[in-house]
Amino acid sequence: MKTDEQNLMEIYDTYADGMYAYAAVLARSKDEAEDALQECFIRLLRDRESLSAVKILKPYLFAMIRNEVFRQGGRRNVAEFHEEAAGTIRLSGVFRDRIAHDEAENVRKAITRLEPGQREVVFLKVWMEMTFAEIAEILGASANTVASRYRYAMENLKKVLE
Amino acid sequence: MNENEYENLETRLRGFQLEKPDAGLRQRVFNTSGPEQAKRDSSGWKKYAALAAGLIVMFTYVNGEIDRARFAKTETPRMPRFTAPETGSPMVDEMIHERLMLAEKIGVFRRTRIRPGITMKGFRDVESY
Repeated sequence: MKTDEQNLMEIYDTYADGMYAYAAVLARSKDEAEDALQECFIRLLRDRESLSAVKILKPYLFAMIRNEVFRQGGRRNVAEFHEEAAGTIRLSGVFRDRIAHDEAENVRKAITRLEPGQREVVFLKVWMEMTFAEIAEILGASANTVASRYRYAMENLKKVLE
Repeated sequence: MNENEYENLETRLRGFQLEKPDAGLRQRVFNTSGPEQAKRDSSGWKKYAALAAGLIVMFTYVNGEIDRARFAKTETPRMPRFTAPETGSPMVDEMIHERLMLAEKIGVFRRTRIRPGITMKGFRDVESY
C-alpha cells in the first residue's frame, strides 16, 4: 500500500510541470514560480488530509498555485495581478534550429502582449487542455466569461502571428 | 474565426514545449533536510525543544554580559570571542544577530560572527564586521 508521501510524489510527477508553467505565467520571475510550486507541495505534505475532500484534483492544484503566486507576490487580488501584467509563458530553451527559435520567440512575445486575464485562459486551454468549466473554477469566473476571453485572445494571437 | 482556425492555431501553439521546473525541486520537496524536513518529521519537536533550550541559555548569557558591561562600567578583562550557531529560522537568527551586535558595540565581545555557511537574508555581510 502506498504512503501519503508516495501518493503526493505521483501527484507531483503528474502535475508539477504544468503547475510550474502556470505559475510562470502569473509570477514576476522564474524563482517566484519555483518558490510557489515548492510551497504548494510542502503545504500539501503538511496538511495531507485536505486532499481527501477534493473531488477533481487538477483544477484544485492549479487554483492552489495561483493563490500561492498571488500570496508570495504580495498581491491581494486578481486586479493587482492584472495591473502588474507580470509573468509570461516560458517556452523550453532547446530548439531544432534558428527558425524554430525565432518562431517560439514570436509566440512568446504575442502571448506576453495579451491582457493578463486572456493570457491565463489561453495557457490553461491550449497547453493544459482544460475545459472552460475547469478554467472557470480556477479563476472564480463564469464559463461564459472564460470562453469570451479565450475567443478575444485567440483572435489577437491570430492577427499577430499571421 | 471558425472552428478549423481555432484548431490550427491551438495545434501550432501546442507545438512549443513549456519550460520545466528545476530538476532539484522535487528532491527539495520530498527529501529535504533542515527546517522544512524538521517541520514534517514526526520527531521534529525534539529538535525544536533542544534548539529552544539552547537559545534560552544563550540569550541569558548574552543578556547577562550586556547588563554587566552596562552597569559595572568596567571592561571585561578578557573579551571572549563568540560564535552564534545557525538556527535555521530567519527571525530567531535576526534576533540573535541584533543582540550580538549590541554586545559587540558595548564591548562585551572582541568580535562577533555568524557561523560560515549561513544563508539567511541580511547576514551575508556579517563577516565584514
